[in-house]
Amino acid sequence: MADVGVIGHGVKVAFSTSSPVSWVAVGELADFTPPTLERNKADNTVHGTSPFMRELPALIKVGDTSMVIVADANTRAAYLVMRTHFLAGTTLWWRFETPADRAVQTYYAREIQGFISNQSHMVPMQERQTYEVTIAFDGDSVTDYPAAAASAF
Amino acid sequence: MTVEERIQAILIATPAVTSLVPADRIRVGGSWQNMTAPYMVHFPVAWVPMRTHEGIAGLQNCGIYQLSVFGAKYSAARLAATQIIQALDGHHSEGTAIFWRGGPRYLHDDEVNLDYFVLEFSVFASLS
Repeated sequence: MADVGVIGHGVKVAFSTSSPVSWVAVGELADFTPPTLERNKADNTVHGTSPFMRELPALIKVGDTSMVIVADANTRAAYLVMRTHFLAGTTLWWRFETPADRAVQTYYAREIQGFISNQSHMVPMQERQTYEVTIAFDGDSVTDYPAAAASAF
Repeated sequence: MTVEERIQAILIATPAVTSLVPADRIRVGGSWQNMTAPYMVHFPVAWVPMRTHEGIAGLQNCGIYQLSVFGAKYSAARLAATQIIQALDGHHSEGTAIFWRGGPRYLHDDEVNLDYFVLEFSVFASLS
């Protein structure tokens, strides 16, 4: 049977304060948005015989990464660690793993460096509380890895 | 303790409710026959599973938990409905939170000539 898509359920996120990395898992994710990559365009038009304008590829903007974490006693510790790094403005190493197969046995991993640009505690009156965390890119590379077993975090 | 058991326990432990609807006439859903009014029946209608990326979450939501209270006349059922809302709305205990979300909606059953009100609650409950 042809492969017909993989649902997102099973995403894993971790951060490290140093390299070589020592990953700290961010548990109980309710939502996750990986960073977008968008290349700027520069006008490269030269007026001549061609009627068409031209653009050349400029630098790549790495979008924000965001996540929603279910707030409870189990996730509070990691949230407070992130809060410490947020207040200090520390740039961290981040690793995101998204399911690569429907059995959720292998994952595509992506690593970036970034700092926490926004951290909020959402307290809806008749819903579960959540922590929302946004990461701004602050590195030289976006590294993607081939499908592999999940990291031990 | 299931949500049904929790709500049953709250209702039969509330004198303001049992003074209007005797405890043995407070029932979960079933094929009850020839019950004497006033009486009530309660049951979950719509569970909405809540998840995280790690799997099913410990906290679950029954978006609609329905309770119908029957009376021989309008005022009897209406008064009981008010007391039921007061007993259940805002209840917090370990693993359970209950919110009044709809009703009382008035209906009349011609076959048995009873007035009744439908109430809806939203219940958050722990799986553990």
